[in-house]
Amino acid sequence: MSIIIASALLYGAVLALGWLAFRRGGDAVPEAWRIAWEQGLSVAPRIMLAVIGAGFIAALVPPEWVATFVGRDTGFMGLLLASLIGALTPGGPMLAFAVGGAAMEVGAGTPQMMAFVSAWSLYNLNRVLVWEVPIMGHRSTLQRFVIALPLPVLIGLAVGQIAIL
Amino acid sequence: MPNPASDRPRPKVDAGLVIVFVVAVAAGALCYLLKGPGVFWSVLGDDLWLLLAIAPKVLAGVLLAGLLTVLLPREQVARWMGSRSGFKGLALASLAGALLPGGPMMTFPLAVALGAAGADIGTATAFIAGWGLLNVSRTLVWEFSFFDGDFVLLRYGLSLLLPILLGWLARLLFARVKTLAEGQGGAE
Repeated sequence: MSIIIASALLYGAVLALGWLAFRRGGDAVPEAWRIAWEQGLSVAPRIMLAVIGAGFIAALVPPEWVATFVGRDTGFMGLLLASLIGALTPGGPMLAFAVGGAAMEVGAGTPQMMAFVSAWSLYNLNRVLVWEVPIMGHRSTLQRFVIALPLPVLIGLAVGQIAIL
Repeated sequence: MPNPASDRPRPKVDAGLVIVFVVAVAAGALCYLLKGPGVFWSVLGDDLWLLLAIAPKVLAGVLLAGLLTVLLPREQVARWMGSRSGFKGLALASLAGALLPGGPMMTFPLAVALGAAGADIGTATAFIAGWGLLNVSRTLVWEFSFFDGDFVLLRYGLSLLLPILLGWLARLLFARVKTLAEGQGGAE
């Protein structure tokens, strides 16, 4: 169901923006095509490898491990661990979300996966080291990192409260 | 064209791709050896179906990225946020982070451009956090593909104001306007 809603939103947005680009004229539409094509070429192999890799990882990791370490009942430690894993998971959104989704199917808790996704989003180390430090400088990076640090656990705690209802 | 993204064209093969490749091959090999060919092929089959289900959304995602890149002039976005500060600047920055497509290779140079246009650490933090937590195309394409709708909406809803909050905190703690300019030399 969610996949249908998301697709409808996506293609609605594509149509609306496509119309705007068309109205703008000039090389707006060809330029958009070119960017989309380049991104597609770069993204396609990543998606395939990430989905396949995450599938194999899910088959390899015993489900009871997932429940033991990041299951619903692991509480604060589970949130910490999930945030740490989120910070360490390399390989872009495909791999991170695929791993998180697969973990939920075999017993990971909702708050824990929420913390995982948030940590990955806020300060994935791979991204921080490869992109943020060289471009933003170590000082800005560190300042941003310090401020964002507790957030994934806090989000997980909030979700835990909500999910109790 | 002084588009900050064009300074760093995305390489065809980079560390990220190598990592996913190594992870996929290693996990596949381990799965074959430890769980046997039966499990290996069944997992591979499931994954291929999943890929088929995701493909239309990925297509929409890259089209959206292309269109947004063309329609939202990045330099202008940077100017808007650089010229004003306060709460409005933070809100604009997180909104821009949520809407602008593209990976880290586009986002961080743009954050530097924000700094050059007069934005402070708070604005940059709100922008990067908005991109990380709320990026619309990433959520629509990836998150909805692997998590169910309730999960995504709950996470997104809870995160909605966080970029503004983080930006405000950054401003409060590290209010030095020029800090961002330091990193700029490293971009070249």
